[in-house]
Amino acid sequence: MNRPRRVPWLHGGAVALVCLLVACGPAAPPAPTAAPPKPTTAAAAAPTSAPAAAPTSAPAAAAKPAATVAPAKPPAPTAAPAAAAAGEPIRGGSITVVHSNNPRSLNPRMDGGIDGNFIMTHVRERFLGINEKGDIVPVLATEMPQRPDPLTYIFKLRQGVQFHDGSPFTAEDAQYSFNIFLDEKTAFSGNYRKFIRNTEVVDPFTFRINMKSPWPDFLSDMANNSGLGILPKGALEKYGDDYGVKVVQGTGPFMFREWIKDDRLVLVRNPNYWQTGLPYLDQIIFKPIPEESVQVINLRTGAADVLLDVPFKEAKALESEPGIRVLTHGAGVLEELMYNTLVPPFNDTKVRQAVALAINRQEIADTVFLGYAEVPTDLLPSWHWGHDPSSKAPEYNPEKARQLLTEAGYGPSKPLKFEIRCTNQPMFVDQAILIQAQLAKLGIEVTVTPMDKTLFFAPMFREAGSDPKSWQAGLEDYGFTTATFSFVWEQYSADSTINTANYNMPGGFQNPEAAKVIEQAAIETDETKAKAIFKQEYAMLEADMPLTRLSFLQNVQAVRSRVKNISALVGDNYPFMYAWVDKN
Amino acid sequence: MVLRYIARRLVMVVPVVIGVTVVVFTLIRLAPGDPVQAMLGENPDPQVAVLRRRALGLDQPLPVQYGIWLARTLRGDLGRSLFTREYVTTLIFDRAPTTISLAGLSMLVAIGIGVPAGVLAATRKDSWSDNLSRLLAMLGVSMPVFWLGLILIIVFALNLRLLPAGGSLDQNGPSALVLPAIALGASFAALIMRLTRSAMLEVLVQDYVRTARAKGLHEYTVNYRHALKAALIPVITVIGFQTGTLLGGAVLTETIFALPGLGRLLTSSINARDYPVILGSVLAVALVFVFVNLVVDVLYALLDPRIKYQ
Repeated sequence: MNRPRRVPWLHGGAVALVCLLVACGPAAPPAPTAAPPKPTTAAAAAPTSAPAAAPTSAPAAAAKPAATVAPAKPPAPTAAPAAAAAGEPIRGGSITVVHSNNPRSLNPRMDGGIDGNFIMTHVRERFLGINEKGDIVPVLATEMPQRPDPLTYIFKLRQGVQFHDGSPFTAEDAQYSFNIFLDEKTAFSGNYRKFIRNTEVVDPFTFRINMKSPWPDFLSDMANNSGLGILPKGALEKYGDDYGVKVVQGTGPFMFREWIKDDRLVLVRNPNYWQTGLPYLDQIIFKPIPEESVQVINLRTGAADVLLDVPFKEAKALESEPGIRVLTHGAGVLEELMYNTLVPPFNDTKVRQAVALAINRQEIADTVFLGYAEVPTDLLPSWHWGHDPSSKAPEYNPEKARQLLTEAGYGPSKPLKFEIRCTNQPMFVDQAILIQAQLAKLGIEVTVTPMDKTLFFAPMFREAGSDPKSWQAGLEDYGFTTATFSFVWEQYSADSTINTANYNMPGGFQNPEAAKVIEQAAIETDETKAKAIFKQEYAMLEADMPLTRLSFLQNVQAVRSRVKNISALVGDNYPFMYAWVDKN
Repeated sequence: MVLRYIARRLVMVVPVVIGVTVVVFTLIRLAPGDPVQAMLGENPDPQVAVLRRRALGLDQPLPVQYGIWLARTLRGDLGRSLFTREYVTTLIFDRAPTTISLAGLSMLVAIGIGVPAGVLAATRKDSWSDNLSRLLAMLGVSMPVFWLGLILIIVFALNLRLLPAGGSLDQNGPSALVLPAIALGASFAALIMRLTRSAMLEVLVQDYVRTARAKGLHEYTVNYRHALKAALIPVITVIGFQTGTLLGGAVLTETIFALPGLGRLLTSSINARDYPVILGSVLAVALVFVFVNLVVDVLYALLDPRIKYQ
């Protein structure tokens, strides 16, 4: 929304009232608490981006995970992106982080929504996590799991870790938590019930997971699924309905203090955190403000220190604003135009290829996303280890598109007509309208139909009661986790529930060779071999074109300059664990 | 007589409130999406979704669900939030002070500006002050509350740094309400000004006003003690009617200014399809609306003894 600049009329009476109320305005902000002693040099060096960089644990030789994760690097400390420039960390202080939506719930059985999940990663830690490079790293596990056979995962757990209530973390707590994850009442339990047979406490710090069948994505899910935070044994029974509202327990760097829905959620420093010296901040206040322009004003006035998700047009303006830094980082959000290969015209490969050739993706990245996006040149975004830097941008060739359309039987006398559906958010509608204009140059007649998210997804996900043949093309984004598996498998495999194109599914476009390569891409653990498979898969997908990858979006955050050592990280990381504030 | 009238009106509240809840209950069920989807995220596991729906009673026919809700409500139990398990009554009572303060302050802004400006405009009809007041009133009525809210934030919070751009009362104190109250009260003030002006113009030519002047009373006394009292009848009627608009405006205002009031509770619960909270909030707002209208009707008699209750 454009911010109007006109000065409003104000009635004299109102001015008087304003003055009166300003006079009895807010109390001065509370004086900062006494600053704790400065961290030692060692502690200062501790803030690395790898959550598992425990000072006490030597990086053990990591077992190879089944999923295509970053080749199981040990959790060696890597320099936090802004650390070098940030100077000596100062302990203490509070920051206010503004975001858009209330957490839906903080109960581990429910999906907390994007904001809730992000906040809870600071409170409830998982066995595994993701670092800023997208690698899977151990957190509450001391190393990547041992795999004596394909159906067994043995996790060595970190010792000396305490929950926020002071109780020690052991494998008993892990088993209690996994019983919740495996409970059919838990939101994300589907795959866990499908693949996991049972869990065993081998000893207080060894935990074993026995699978029913291989789950290639298991470790990726464990590293990315914020619902998998470990909670102390008996927590849900002990706190009942208060759990997730008045109490949240975990082992994370910050402890839950209070949640006043629609107003604030407050986390405070965990003084007993297992990574000695961390975190630096005493307090984080998360403040939900639905209106984007008001979020930005809060940042400009200093009422907020961090905006988690900055609208692109606001980011451009903030870039030149003194006292504010705009942070960008590649992310896993892919904008895409999906084709339903069950129905005409997209059951014809030539039509899919023609439409892809006629879309100017760079124009979309530049105009709709104001440059905060990159045109995908292969299956993976440029920051990802699996990305091929030599890959070229996809071809934009309207003439070739016209030729393909002619071969498919379309032309001036019989123009190609189809509908692009999208959810009714401006970002999607804008992209769809731009594509409509681009395709119109070739005489393709596109109808853009914005609709409610639920109605949009139901036929794509083949939900009961919906008609999977009721749509032709859909424009959406897919919020991939940072897991490689998501990029190379989830939207293309016939076994995936979100294969919206019905690619290699009954009635949809078939390419058995590609299907094999897609499954290989999901399980290959050798980096060199994996890269070769990705390349092969990409070539096949470009030929079959079940969907057109339009843009990889960037994470854009804005912070006030006093907040140091924070970066726009890739996934559900701990960006505030290493942050500190300059009190000068 | 007044008590009997009040009792009769209170009885009439029942069908009004039931009607409102039936409409809201039906509308939110017709809207796409349901709380189970919000709880489980996109593309939920079908088995988990079925279990959740059953556990929440959402697999029952709509009339049965409504009947269960109504029976519980009549016992004073509005249920719990589907997401946080907080009691709806607790949520409403926690949020009500913010919305009541906002509505009250907005009303104060509206009456404090609208009535004197209306009297001034009427007593100086066709003068420059009358024309200016009418122009400003036109502007006030035309400006949408969210637009004015943003302008106020930009001017007073961003440029002048005089007031906070919203936030809760316990964090920012009463000043958190100033801009929202002006934003919400501005259009209402304009409406009251125009009504007061036209009502005053009618009253000022009445015989009893002329008589008062002939008796040598001070102009202020004539205008404010004799004329205004009679002119306020239609103004008070509109204030009653506009309470609903004010509460509706509070939804927008609280969203823009991030005020954790009833309006914000309603919008966030609608987004999450938190049915018990939606119904409880709407019920609370409907009751307030009916109650305020009742108070307005009773006030008539106090202001104008010619009005009798039947």
